[in-house]
Amino acid sequence: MLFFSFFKTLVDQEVTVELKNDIELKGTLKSVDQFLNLKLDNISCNDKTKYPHLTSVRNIFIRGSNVRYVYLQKNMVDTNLLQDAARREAMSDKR
Amino acid sequence: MSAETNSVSSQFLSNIIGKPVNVKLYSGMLYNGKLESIDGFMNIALSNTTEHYENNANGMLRRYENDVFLRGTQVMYISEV
Amino acid sequence: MSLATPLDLLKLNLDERVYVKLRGARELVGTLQAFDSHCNFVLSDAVETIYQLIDGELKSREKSSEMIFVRGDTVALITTPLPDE
Repeated sequence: MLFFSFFKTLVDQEVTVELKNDIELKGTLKSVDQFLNLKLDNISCNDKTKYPHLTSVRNIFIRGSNVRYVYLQKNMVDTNLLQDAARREAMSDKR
Repeated sequence: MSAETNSVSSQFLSNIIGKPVNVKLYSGMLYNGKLESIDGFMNIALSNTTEHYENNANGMLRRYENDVFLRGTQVMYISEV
Repeated sequence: MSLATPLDLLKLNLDERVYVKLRGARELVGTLQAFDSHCNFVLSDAVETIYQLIDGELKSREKSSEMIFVRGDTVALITTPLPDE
């Protein structure tokens, strides 16, 4: 649940998602669910010539399993809060 | 999770803790080191680890100074040396 | 009750530099900010190295990012970086 909560704090911010097929999409994060599926609005493609089929797409739903990376800006993340949340998550995982 | 059950496989896993092991990943990488810990997902922690491709005879690619965490889903097998 | 699990040991690497080996000849070095049991994680000040064989020659390229979320399903190995990384 840690990263579900984490992505919820990033809603309405601009992120870049790299998919496992090397496509890179930049857009505003509109929604996220427990599988880390992502909904992006107002997307742009970093390499339009390579992926012309995406130039007309404005918003997109990405299945979480196709995500490789999500690039973020440093100022979007409170690293102290995130580290503490990770320590707590590691404790609760012990069952 | 794994230590409480008394199956043959979990007995094997708890018996080899602290012993030198080989761990092979699906990628073909082979890791040789001392087994620090292992869980029911086959996540593995090794110390004094060396990295090889396919078998130890192919020479060492790398030596890791600190503990190495190997992700269970990538593990093909673990064997006592 | 068993000893510390491998994931417990990862907790010791929080806020430290880590080296991660991923599927597809990719490596990452960065400061570990968070991880979960799927090995999803967030790194700050990260450098990714991608190795490729081009005409039988090993080429590598690097990509830097100030903050990156990595999905755990491609992760193979996590440790601390060697001094030169």
